[in-house]
Amino acid sequence: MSRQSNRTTDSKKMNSELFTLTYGALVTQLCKDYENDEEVNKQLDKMGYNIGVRLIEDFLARSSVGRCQDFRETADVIAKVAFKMYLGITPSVTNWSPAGDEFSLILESNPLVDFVELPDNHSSLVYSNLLCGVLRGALEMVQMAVDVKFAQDSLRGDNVTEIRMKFIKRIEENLPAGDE
Amino acid sequence: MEAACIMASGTARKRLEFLRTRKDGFLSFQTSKYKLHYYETPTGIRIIMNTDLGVPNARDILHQIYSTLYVEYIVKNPLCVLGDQLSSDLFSTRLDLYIRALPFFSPRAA
Repeated sequence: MSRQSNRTTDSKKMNSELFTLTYGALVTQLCKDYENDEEVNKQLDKMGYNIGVRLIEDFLARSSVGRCQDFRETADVIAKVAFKMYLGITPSVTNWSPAGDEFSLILESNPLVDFVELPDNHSSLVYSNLLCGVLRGALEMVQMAVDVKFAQDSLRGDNVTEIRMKFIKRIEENLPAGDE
Repeated sequence: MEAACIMASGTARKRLEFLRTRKDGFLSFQTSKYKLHYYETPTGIRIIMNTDLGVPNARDILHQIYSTLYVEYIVKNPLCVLGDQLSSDLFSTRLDLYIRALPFFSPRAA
């Protein structure tokens, strides 16, 4: 084992204000580049997705989390391990649907919106929509198709920020033809 | 070559699927000539290393290859397209260095 062995276990510290401001600059630029809020939301989700499909590998490398047995375990890991690791917050997991395939993540605070106030002409902008894409992309890589969206957003006057996640299906691995 | 044949055959494939559902999954198997070490992540990345019979459980080593080499040099390199053949020279060099530094690596076998 050379000096590389501990590298990924130290979490690198980063100034959270720089992070928040950088994200703000990104959203602002998207608002300039695209005509309407819907399109910006879509772009944020797409960027998040591309981040998520790579971020999951980093997550698995750093945490010792294995494959989850059920969706409840997945919810716990997302809230307690993943959000803690990447955003430094621990959302609470609530509002389970009776079938156990849908839940909400309640974020008491959202580091992405620390300095943000939405102007009146951007009423349908989902500012933190990147997070939905990240979750969707990351879970897709561990064979889970999910639907993620913001149900409430403190930026738009709600009391809390709520991300609603719905389990759609387990993605079967595509084996090459004739391999079974 | 022999290893590749076993992996592709139907029954071994089914057994692999079955073993994967257990906690650590399928770890290794050996024949009279060599030992195959296997590591799979929940994202489906599979790392396989063939060694001689004297090498003990290499799970930690394969995990290290995943977390300090694959993730660092492939996943975090935006120019590497995931799912494509790994063509990063940096990754190959680092991997080579890592393998050569292992306690059971012997140059005469290489």
